[in-house]
Amino acid sequence: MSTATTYALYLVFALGGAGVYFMLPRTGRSRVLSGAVLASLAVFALLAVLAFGVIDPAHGSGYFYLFAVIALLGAGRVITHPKPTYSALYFVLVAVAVAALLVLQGAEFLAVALVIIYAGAILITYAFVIMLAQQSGSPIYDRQSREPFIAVFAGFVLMAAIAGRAGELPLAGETVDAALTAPAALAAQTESPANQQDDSAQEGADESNSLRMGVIIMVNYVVVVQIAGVLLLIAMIGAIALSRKKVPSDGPRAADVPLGEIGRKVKPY
Amino acid sequence: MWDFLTSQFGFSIALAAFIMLGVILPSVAYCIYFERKISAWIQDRKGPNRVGPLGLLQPVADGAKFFLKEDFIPGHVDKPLFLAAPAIIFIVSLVGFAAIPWGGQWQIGDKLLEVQVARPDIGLLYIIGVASMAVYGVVVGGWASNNKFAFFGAIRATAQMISYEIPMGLCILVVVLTMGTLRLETITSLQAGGEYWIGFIPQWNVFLHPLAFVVLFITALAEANRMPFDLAEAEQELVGGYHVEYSALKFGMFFLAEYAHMITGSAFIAVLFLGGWHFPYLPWTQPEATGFFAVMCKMAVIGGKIVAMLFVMMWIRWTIPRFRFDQLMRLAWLRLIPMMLAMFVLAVLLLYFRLHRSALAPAGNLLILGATLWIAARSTAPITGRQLNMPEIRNEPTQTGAMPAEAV
Amino acid sequence: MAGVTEYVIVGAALFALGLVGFLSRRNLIVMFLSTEIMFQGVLVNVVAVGRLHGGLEGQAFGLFLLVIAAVEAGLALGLIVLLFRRRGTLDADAWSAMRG
Repeated sequence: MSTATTYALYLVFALGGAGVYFMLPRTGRSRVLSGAVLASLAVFALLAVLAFGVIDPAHGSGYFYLFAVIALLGAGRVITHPKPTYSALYFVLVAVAVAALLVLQGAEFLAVALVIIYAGAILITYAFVIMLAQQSGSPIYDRQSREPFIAVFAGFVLMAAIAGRAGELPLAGETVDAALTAPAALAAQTESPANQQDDSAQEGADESNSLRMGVIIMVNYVVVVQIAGVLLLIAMIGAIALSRKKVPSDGPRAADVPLGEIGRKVKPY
Repeated sequence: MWDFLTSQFGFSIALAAFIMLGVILPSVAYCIYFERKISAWIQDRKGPNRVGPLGLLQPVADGAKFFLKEDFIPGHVDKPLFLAAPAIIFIVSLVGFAAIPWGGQWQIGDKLLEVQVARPDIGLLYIIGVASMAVYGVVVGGWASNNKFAFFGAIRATAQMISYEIPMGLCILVVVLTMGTLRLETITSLQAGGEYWIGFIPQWNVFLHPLAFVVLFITALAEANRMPFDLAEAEQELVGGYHVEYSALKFGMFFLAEYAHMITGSAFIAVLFLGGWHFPYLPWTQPEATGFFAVMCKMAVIGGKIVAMLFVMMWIRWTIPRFRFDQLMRLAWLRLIPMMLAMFVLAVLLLYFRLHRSALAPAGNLLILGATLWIAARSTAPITGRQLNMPEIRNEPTQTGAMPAEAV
Repeated sequence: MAGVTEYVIVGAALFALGLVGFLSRRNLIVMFLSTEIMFQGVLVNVVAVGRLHGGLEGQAFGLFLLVIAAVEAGLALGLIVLLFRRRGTLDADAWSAMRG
């Protein structure tokens, strides 16, 4: 990545930062529209810089631009929309777009796991809580942001730092892809239950991403899997303990109440 | 043009268009007709019989009515999301079809085409992922309607769909462990090939893990918000649930999406457990047959399996009353999930000892089912709070293992 | 397959957007959504950089990252529900009395 490209990137980030700054919710005169124009301009400028300065045209893919646009604009809307429900739904869009970016990088299993875990489980519970807490309208703390300038500046500095360093990464696709095919050999030689299945099951599945992921996780990182499981268990216990309602100790017990009163005046449990 | 159509890419596009427009949409419309006919048959009525012979044009008339009604948007709704919800639910219920293997391979000239729109490595996970997005249509519709009834329906639907995804995932894991692949076409051809067990039973997964099949069917009903689990739209309590505020074609999309969901779920179950396009002893539905007639036969066979499952779903709808919400949650969390966890352990053990395709699998299934029923029968926990008020059926905790005689 | 740098930059952009959201929004849930956006950025980066090393370690790491995200979401939502029950608002500034 040339120095000119790096400076172009800084410029684009400044533009995007200004756009986000205007789009952040605030009381008083709304400047969302101009912010949105600036931010979209920044996203498209970013992609243009990437297309001309970074991406090797032989390995570029139109899908990358499509899903990068969706992910970035969606993320911008998540953090700037005054209604939290919309934020959560835009986040679903971001998760799907990021999953597509992962597919483009050959991480199919991870991409589907992302969609199932994020869109299918995490986000729906977020949406659930938001909808329960705020049925309609947006209160003052959603219409006003806290120190938008400092926040945007911090984000800008972070971006610039990362982008400045990202120029030192290797550019080409070939070296990467040659190395990427190597683990297939690992999958073939490792003894795993899936590998000893019927021959017909092995055909075509041999080089698949999911099989190789399975081998890596269950052979190389099996202890990490255990730790992750324990972590999930702890989180489950923690979440149950946190959100448990206080159990009423006194008050009429269900068994002592006359017929028909339960559910009307006395809670069943 | 011919070259493009006989390449896999062009063929996939043509197949997608044909399946979507030529098969799914008409069959969704006729599902409603059959639902009404079956309900009439069960309730000893005649059902729709005015429009066309035997009432066969009824879906056309219904569709025309949906188009011609006033498309009313209430003033208090959240407009963008209100408009997006029917689209979300309808699209999500249709994209799952892309990974279903409809008819094995088709030989055209010297080319061998897959009769399947997309063949991802992770076809099975793709369908789960798509299915897990289905809840958004309901939630968004319910919330955007800005109506207490609709919102209650959305909340119920969310809790229900999240809960029933867990036993569904465990059922699918049992299949994955047995088959050793995530590719739907490989799962089908593995079930289609090979010897017949005891001389006449095809190697379908339903004979290996019947319990997983039944549980997957139950969860498919719950995911499609079908009758014993249709609390999200319970007319008696919630008027219409999450689609109270919808009218005309937007309501029609909710309505059709339910049937599209049923068809997707049935196709998925048919591929996982019933051998997909395979039918025993029929030479055209074996994996080796690749001619045009064979492909048509295979599509007819998988279609027949889907229709059979749809019929059972409709039959259940007009036979079994609706669950109450706590019963629904209890069924998922206290019965189905422990049962399917036991099934999962069973599948892992069988795989470890290389017995995953032996008669031990159905035997273990029966054992787990028996154990679950036994535990359920012995359970002294009150099903409802009201039960405690009824002295004649009060459940005393038993001291010994035996059930007290009067409680039986 | 595409190169690495552009994915790193898109991932970094997602991360920075998440950071901006976390710092500037006042709604507790939107703040946590912003951290999830940061997670997405990290995920893109981890997978992209993992490809440089030729193995699937990056993707395996990404999978564990998803576990962490799920754990975080579960606990965060539990905490948010608890806080919401106490004060009846999702405003993060309602808890600024703890500033010491």
